[in-house]
Amino acid sequence: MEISVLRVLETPLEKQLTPEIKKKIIHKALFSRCLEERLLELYSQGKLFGTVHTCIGQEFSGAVITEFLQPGDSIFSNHRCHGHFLCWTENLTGLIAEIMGKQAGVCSGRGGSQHLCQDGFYSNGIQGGIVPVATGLAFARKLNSEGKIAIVFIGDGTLGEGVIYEAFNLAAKWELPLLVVLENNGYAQSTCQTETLAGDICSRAAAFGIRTAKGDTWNWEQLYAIANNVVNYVRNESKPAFLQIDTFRLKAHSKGDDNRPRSVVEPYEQKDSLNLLLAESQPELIALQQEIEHLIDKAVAEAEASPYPEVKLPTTREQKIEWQETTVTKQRLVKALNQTFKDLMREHPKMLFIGEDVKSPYGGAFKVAQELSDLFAERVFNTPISEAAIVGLATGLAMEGYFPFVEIMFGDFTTLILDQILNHASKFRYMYDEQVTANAVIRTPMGGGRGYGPTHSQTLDRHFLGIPGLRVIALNNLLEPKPLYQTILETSLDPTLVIENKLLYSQYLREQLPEGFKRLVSNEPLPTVWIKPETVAVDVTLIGYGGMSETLVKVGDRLFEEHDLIAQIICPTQIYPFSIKPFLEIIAQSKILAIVEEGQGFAGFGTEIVTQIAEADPSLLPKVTRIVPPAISIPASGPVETAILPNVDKIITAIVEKK
Amino acid sequence: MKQEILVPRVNTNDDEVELVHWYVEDKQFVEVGQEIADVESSKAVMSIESEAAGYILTSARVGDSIGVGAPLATIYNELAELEADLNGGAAAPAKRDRSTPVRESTVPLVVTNGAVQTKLDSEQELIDEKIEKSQQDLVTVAAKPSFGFTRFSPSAKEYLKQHNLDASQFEGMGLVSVEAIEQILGKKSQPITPGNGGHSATVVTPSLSNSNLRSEKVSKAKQIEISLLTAGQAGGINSSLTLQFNSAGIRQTLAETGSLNGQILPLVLFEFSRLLEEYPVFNAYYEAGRIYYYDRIDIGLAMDLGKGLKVPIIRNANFLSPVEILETVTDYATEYLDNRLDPADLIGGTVTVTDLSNEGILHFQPLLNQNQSIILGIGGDSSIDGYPLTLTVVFDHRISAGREVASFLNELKKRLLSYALSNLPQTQQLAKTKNVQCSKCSIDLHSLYQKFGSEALMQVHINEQGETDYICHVCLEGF
Ligand SMILES: Cc1ncc(C[n+]2csc(CCOP(=O)(O)OP(=O)(O)O)c2C)c(N)n1
Ligand SMILES: [Mg+2]
Repeated sequence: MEISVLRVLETPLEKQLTPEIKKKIIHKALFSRCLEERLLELYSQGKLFGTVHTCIGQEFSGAVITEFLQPGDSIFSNHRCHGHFLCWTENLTGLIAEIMGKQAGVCSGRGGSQHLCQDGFYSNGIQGGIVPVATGLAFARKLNSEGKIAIVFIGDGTLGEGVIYEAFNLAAKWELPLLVVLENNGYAQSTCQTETLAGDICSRAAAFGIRTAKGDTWNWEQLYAIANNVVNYVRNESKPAFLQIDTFRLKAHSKGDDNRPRSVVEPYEQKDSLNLLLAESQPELIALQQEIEHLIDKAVAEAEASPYPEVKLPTTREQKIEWQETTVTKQRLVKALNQTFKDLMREHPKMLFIGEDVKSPYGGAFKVAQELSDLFAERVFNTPISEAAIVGLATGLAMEGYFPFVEIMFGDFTTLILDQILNHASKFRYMYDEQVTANAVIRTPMGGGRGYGPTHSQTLDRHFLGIPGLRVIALNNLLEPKPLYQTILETSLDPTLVIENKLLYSQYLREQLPEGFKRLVSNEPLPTVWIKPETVAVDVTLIGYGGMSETLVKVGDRLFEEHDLIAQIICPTQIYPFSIKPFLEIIAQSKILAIVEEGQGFAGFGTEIVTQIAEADPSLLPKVTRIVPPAISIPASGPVETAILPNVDKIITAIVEKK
Repeated sequence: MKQEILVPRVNTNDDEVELVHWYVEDKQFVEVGQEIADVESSKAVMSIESEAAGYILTSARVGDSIGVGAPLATIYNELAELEADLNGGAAAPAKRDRSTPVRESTVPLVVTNGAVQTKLDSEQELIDEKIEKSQQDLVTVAAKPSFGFTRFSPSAKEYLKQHNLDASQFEGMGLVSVEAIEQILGKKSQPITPGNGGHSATVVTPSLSNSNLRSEKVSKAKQIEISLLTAGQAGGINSSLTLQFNSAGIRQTLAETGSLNGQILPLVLFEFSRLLEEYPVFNAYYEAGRIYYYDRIDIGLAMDLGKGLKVPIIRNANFLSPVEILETVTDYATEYLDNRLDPADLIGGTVTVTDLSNEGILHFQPLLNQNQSIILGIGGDSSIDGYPLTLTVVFDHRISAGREVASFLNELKKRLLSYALSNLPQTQQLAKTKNVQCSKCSIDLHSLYQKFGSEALMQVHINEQGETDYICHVCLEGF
């Protein structure tokens, strides 16, 4: 029965295109055209910030596609997004003001031309990166099973971005209601497609088993029917589709950077649908155009009247740290983590567990996910080896209210997710002016000591420190993981990267501390641990996190026994954002400050600590030492690896040298 | 032109220091590098030197707590400018009112060395308040450490052995390193053995440590007297007695026998410590209606060889020979000059001696140290015939009375004078060169020197029969 309906839909249904709808589509296209021409004017008047990528010549793409969208659907777009946005939201003032950088902008001027957001519309200026996010949102829509879909516009030049194929694969394999609209204008910035594109466009999507269709903006009435067909397919079948829309950009890529010869552009000017319509000089259209111009005048005036937004800085909570003694139950960390996720998934029906090889019986490379898929079969997902796409996927899911936990098998592979984190997930809440949250949790094991060699042993957290909007957490064996993950899950508005140390997995949570040392935890949401020696004379402050926790406890004991030095340990759990200020009083008690890092020291956490201390109270810095590995890759050979990574002996030696 | 002198950071722990002494007065001219004030942090007393030459205007009073980086004084090029400021110029450094704390301590008293200083006077309340506040701020930090366990580092154990320290002093001090020992002693020394010449405002929480000392209650009548005296003298109820005699004879003996490098001080310390055994009340202290008797005689010897007053402790002085005392004193002097004095050696005196006889000061009145009942001041003047020597005992009237002190002094004088050859009958004086031999073990002078080298000492005394006699340092147990 469904199939027969589809058969009908497959044939062009021009007859459905009523005069009213036609008028509406033309209206939208003309609206886009007039607006962007005005934007170019405003641009040359110096009234806009940044640049404008106009879709002049391509307007019917957005005008037609948006006809088939429903409230609750989502549209993702790229740098050339004004037309799409306007056709979907009709928010003229919000758009103009945004590009003018005004308070009345849809993102209060935070996003600007390429980063718009309203009512399920999201655009981003990174080519292709948004496709996995759209896929994740489509996934959420599928899980919600309310018949809502996601659409993503990309350009033909973006076919060069690998991540889109990761997303295509996922969308096809998992049958996600995602429509990819490829606006094929033959150029990427200055580069003609013939220089860079191999093979056939639609075949690329088709290779994943994605239904494909083709249309163009010159025959927009036919495009209407094709789009109608494709969108219905995506919506009704909950499967992805790929729609290639051939079109042509009549103006420059952005601003005035057009190097295409007139001979190439001119024919398209002549066949441009809107140009042809306007050339007819129909009174109705002229009136419409005048009306639009009038609306634009008004919107520009409103936008100009709007003030520039105030600089809003994050409120740093310089609350007073309080300390409390605590204990942990002796248990291997991997077991404690496994139990944590079992508990959390039971408590939170919207929590999802996503990763490579995480399902039973394998349970993840480090067995953290053991048995999860037995218990929660419909919420644990084995993924293709597509780190970027699954992080984007998680971002999209999180935007829709899910609690996705992504496992990246080895921390070394986080290089592949950097763009998804840095240019997407961590940006969204701010640049979309608090209209969305993206609290995806990305967990990954890091660290050496297992002989896995240069690309499977690294501690790369340093590369993720200092990304506004991204919280970086390092688990240690001094705190129970459950409350930490609970907090991460329940309190976050932004993505979180959690580093779990490989060696710690098999070690026990430190129940027993050496005699004379107390475990105090701060009242921060993600507490810092202070291993406090009970003494009247502290000599050394050790700062280290993650896998260093166990090492530092041993260092503390041996410094006392062998070198008559009393050490305290500060072991932060949240390593970004991080301020050392609340701990200065504690540090001030000691004479030597030793910062221990398993990752490279250059421009790392320790560097930041030292700088912050220097800014706050340089008198605390006379004796600082950083114990970090040398600037070489981590060798596989066990003894050589041991020789370069910080260990108890090396830390002690460095401290004794400082004494 | 004027320049402010700011409170420097004395150590990393303290964000404020207490002004304990001004060496200068307002409008006085000071030189660059001249000491102008002493400030006290939780760890040390430190002198502040002027960074400029000029007329000084102080901005704080003794007893004020001043934040690090806050102005301590202003140095003016011109006196006129100073006076202009002083007479209500806008820039006049505000004299701080003692009653209002200079600055709310933003850093809670993070008690690094555990012991929060306790103060005797009215500031106690203020401090209690501060401690309370810090406890609120930093819930887990206790004002007084009692960790309920003690774990010594191996080095700390070694240190205790070397310095003959009683490990039980560190009961409950948690992790104890050498540093911790020094901190505990430096900080908490007063409770155990006060009177190391520390600043007078800094004292004492004796309750814990004196519990093992023998004590006896002061009589009711005496208590009434004490309370009257206390009211009159605000706590320090001290008197002094001085006794003067010529020391030339004693010195001559020392010179002729080549003993003690000719120094009289070791001899005084020797006799003083032995005599103290007979006067336990002078090796004791008064507190809250009780007299606490020390179970050892540790003499603090006040030294000032140009690097500030230090009071190293001659431990168990009553068991040392004059030569051993001389050696201890010499060692301390060397360490003092090399800035090597071990902090552990500066604490725990039970009584104090201060000697200005080499300074040509014939008479002075030393200040009694906390938790001690007497201090002995030795004065002298070589320019006067007979090289007069004075012995002044300042004593705590709550414990002892003048008569006792007088008899103590007279006995001490008698014992010292017994060394003087001039006091011996002529024949006996000559005898010393003939047959000097220990009256107990019969060792002769020559053999004694052979055997003990510079440690050797043959002492002349008058025996019970009133005759001159000799006794070697081995047999010598004091009188
Ligand atoms: C990842 C990334 N690489 C490069 C760019 C710079 N850039 C912006 S638009 C563009 C051309 C995109 O071409 P296409 O996808 O065909 O879209 P069109 O501009 O033709 O609409 C380029 C290279 C970018 N924004 N993001
Ligand atoms: Mg293109």
